[in-house]
Amino acid sequence: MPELDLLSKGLTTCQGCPMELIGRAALDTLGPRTITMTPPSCSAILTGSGDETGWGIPSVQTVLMSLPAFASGVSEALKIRGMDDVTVMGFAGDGGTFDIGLQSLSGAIERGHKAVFICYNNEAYMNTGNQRSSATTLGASTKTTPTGKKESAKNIDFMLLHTPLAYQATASVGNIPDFKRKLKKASEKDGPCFIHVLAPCPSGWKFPTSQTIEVAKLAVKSGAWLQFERENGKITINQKPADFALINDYLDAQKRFGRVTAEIRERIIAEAKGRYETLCRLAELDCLV
Amino acid sequence: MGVIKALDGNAAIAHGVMRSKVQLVAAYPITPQTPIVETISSLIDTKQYDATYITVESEHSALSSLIGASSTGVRTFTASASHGLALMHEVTGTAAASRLPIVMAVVSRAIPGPMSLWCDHSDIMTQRDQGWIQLFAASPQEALDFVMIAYRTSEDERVLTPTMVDIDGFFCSHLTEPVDVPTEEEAGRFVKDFVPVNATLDPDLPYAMNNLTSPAIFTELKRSQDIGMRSAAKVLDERFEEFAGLFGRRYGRVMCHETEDADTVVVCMGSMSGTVKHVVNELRAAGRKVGVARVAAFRPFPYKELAEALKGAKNVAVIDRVSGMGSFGPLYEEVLSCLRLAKLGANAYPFVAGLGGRDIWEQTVEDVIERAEALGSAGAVCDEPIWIDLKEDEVRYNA
Amino acid sequence: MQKLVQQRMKMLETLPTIIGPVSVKISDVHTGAWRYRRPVIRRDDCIRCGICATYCPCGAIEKAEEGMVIDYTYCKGCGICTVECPKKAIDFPEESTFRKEGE
Repeated sequence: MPELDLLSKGLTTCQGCPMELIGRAALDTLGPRTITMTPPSCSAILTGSGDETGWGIPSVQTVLMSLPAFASGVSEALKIRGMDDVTVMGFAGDGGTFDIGLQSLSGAIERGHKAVFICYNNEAYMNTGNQRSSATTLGASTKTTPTGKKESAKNIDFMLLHTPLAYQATASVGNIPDFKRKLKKASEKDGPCFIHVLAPCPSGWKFPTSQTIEVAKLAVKSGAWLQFERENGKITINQKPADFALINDYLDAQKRFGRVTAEIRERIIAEAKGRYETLCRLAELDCLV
Repeated sequence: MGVIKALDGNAAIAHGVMRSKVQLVAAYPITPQTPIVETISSLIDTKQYDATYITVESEHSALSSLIGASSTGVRTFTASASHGLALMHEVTGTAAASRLPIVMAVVSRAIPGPMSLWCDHSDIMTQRDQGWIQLFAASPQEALDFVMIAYRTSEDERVLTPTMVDIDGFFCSHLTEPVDVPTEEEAGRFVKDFVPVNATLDPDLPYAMNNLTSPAIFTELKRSQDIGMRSAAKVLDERFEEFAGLFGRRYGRVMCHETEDADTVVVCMGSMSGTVKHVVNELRAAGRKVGVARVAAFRPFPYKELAEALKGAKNVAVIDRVSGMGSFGPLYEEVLSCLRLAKLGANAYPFVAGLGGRDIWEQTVEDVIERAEALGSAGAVCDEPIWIDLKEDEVRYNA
Repeated sequence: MQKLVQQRMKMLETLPTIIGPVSVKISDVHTGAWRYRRPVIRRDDCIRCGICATYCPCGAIEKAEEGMVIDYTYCKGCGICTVECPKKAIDFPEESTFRKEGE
């Protein structure tokens, strides 16, 4: 339950928006000694327009390509000014993280600036009206893939396993206490942290607005989304998928998968299983960066 | 007096940055600017200079991180050229609109294509309307001095506008000359520690910066930027005066040589002005009434000051180091506006020279003056630029 | 509601004007007007666990003396609370039924 009201309640996000909930839970965890950055995206609705803002903390709207670079500058400048107790929070979607912002993110991570990068993943360019991104699931229809996406999503979590992150985690809007625990841990690290949060979007994924949390829970239960964290060279799996067959229910709950064929369904399930198996094997190692 | 050192333009800029007590530098290597960032990062790495250097993965990230740092209230610097400046284009506008006093050195190199490593002004001219003050230095000494002057100007609360200090790639960046480097104490009398005067990112002050601007206020914010930019003219004059008092080197937004009674005046920018000056001296010795007006501050453009230099001239020959494709070079367009605004009747002729690193020789300048005078006495009008030193047989005409 | 965020933004009003695109006011759209269904908590069935508040995207639910309270100025009527309530103690009637009663 939110203790602090650091984010305005009167914001024009869509009904049932997971991004707003993630932002709210993030501020509730980090408190007022936080500076946030958002790129032009749905999260820019929190940053506001004209002379109005939703954040009760300082914020900058960056350009889409380089939020992590903006954060690098803020983080280093805070050090110069001796403001060591401030958390720098990047708050970007999948477009700003997986696609156009990936280079900048990789640079910021490699250089080791103290900052927490949150990616709320709604699996498409939702602020421009739902165009596919590299995070869009195979088979999902978007405005640029009306008959369903032909390619599998980029697995950014696995890509980032080999970068010097001080802390890396996945989380889901369906489990806010878990997200808050992970964010708290990240904010206490002295280096770059990445938290990738699943954010089912009622408008883009086409399910009723009341189902945001349920869809997120089903994603985790079915293994379509994996919950894990990486710290000190070791992966910890937070929740074991209950049954991969539930992916059928997960797909059926969203109209964006309305055109998915049996063949694609099988591929989606097989890929989810493969990801989990890989993760299990990786979790046996303790030699990651 | 400071310490006389043998420095090239790049090293001079690095010294200017250090003497300006810049706290954070983020830059990416690119020819011919690389020695600036190598020098600065080595000085920081070997603890001869106390500052933070962010080794960014691109020029876009270089300026992005400076926007973050400058917004957080520290003095910042970057340097770039050509492709790098083009990649930064998105964020140069953001930096200026956010009213951040960032200073960037641009070591001019032709923008592609064709691919080139060598000097012309096509890179910095892409930034002409991005809202940055643009100073063109002609020598290593000026480069150092202009960096210090740039910080004082950009940070002035009447201005709050970033500055590009431009030097010509190789012609100035790699030219070694004796440079008077102010001591830390001397420089400290001119550039003090940075005190931000506008909003900064501070957890106690929840400002939201650079957010979406509606049509209801966008025009007013642009006009505010324009006022800041225009105020830089006065502030630059004040700082040039103060600088001359402290260091004995006098600069102006337009620097003239032998223009008072000149019939023909050459208008130019950057390193070629030394050659033009030399030719002017030789022609004067031969009794020819010629002069040169060098524009040192391209933005804000010194219309009045340039008009003052051109008021007695019959012919004005403008040398643009950029093609102005389909139109005229940007400097020529400004000169036309200047003549019109001051109601001066001189003939103005557009010359394009020195593209992609081609040398501008004494002969090139002499040709420019001859052509301008010949066209002037015929009362001719040019409807397109004159490409000087063009190898006509190498030019390909479409079928 | 909106206490802390408003208080924090309020202090900016006392400071000198900022030059550039800087926001100093709080966005405060009364998004309750969007609602076409209204979540209503049945007091007797509510166990005050706070899960509804944890998952309300708008932060429109708070725990008060009398139990969980929904701020209808901001509640957009997404219905997440009605689904997430472990006791199913939140009804979700059409907004029009309230208007008929003259609200």
